[in-house]
Amino acid sequence: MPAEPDYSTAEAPQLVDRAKGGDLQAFEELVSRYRDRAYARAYSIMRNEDLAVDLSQNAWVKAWQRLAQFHGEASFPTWLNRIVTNLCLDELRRRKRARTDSIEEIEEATGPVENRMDIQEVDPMERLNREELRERIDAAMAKLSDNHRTVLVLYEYEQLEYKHIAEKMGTSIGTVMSRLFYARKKMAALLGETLKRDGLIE
Amino acid sequence: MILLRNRLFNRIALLMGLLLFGGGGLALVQADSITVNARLVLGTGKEKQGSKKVSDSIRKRLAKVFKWMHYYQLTNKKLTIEDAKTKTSKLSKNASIKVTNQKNGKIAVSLFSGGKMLLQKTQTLREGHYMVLAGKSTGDSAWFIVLSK
Amino acid sequence: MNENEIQLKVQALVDGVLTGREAEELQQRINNDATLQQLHERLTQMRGLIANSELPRPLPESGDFYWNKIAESIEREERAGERIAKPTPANRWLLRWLAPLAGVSTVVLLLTLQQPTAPDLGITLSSDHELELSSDEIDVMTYNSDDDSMSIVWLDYSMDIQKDYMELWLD
Repeated sequence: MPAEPDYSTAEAPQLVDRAKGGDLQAFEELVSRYRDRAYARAYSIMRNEDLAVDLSQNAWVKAWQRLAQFHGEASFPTWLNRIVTNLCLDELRRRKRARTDSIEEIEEATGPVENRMDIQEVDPMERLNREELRERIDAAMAKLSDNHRTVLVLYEYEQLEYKHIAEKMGTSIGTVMSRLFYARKKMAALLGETLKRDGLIE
Repeated sequence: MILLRNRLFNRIALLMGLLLFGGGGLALVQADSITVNARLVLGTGKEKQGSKKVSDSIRKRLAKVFKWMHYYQLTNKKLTIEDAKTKTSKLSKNASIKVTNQKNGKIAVSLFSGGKMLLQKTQTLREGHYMVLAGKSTGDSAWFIVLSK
Repeated sequence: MNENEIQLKVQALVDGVLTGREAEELQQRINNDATLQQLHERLTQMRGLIANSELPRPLPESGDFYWNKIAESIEREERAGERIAKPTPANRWLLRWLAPLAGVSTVVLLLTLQQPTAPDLGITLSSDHELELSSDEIDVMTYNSDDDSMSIVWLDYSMDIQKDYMELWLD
């Protein structure tokens, strides 16, 4: 009888292989290693704890069902986060059907109101440590519209190209570029405000 | 004279035999091999300048069922398949089909995406009939694989 | 090129999407235009700030509780799958062949119920059509119209399946 593997020290690919063979305990170990990352990605997009928990759990269930399709082209957590992102996008799409367009979307469609306004200069690197800065960036991301936040997450965190973002969001490359531009502009303005308020910039 | 007539008769008989055999054989090949046109078509709401449009016959039939206004032919492959034989054809970077001639006009078409088989459809493909495999593509567009004799 | 278009071009340059001659021309234009130069700098700065800034975020509930819900869902779906879709190999085979036909029957029934005065769509099922699916993640709708001399199999798949292996079909 083969010895019980030590799941806690096994490498992720080994756990994936065992899970592919139906080993639920190996899968549980994967969940325990990457659950925070999956949840964090869902939260980055949805900005709602309950939804992020539910969607990341659904992603794990889907991952279990689709393990046979995982061939290791990307790392397991990257593959998993792709499923998380897709489920979040499906959820946003479903919710958007029952909602009117946001101001930002109307501006994008009718032409930018703030076209002549520059992107505000934000250079807080010297005064803030990386962790504090990340918290401020996260707080600013929370204030963006769903579309602007999603495009930033897909571009900056998921590191997808314009083309692939357009496919995922079901829109054109031009719209992706425009949303990305406005998202960055809005982020600069929001970061500028908070840093000014904290006396970190003048 | 009788010998000559016999020889002549024998030659005619031989010739007829050859003709019948050969012609029959040819007819047999024609009846059992099948030529299938496989087209990869993009269905979209936006006009694409410079792209090749599908024939009116295909466009009308697709537009009757589907919402897209424009149908563009991206690939057109002609497959001549003998009885009980199979041919594979790549229609795009990721899409390919495998067509088996199962006799009497019946074909089995397997659809592959990136080497993975998605489905197999078997049916009798009559002259003038279109067998369509389709699905949603990126954005507001769809792909169609249109097979006809 | 209007102001908005040039802004998006500058962004494309910052993101490394613009290359070759177009990038060189734009770079020259930026070098000679203080406003564009400033925009280029700020966009570069913003990109550097946001990239990899995703906060690590611990689950707001216990890991065991989180896992139990996942395990329950997996078990429930597998049980449902065994009961409905895969009771025996014979039934599994039968379902694969009958599922598309059932789909069409449902569509035809719905059309009949919802549009009693609708014209005859001429949708018929032919006995010589056979369909076998290789993936459980794809649903199909099929119909065979003798009037239009056309049979259609429409593949219905989720967005992530599309991403996984359908996206490059039209390349």
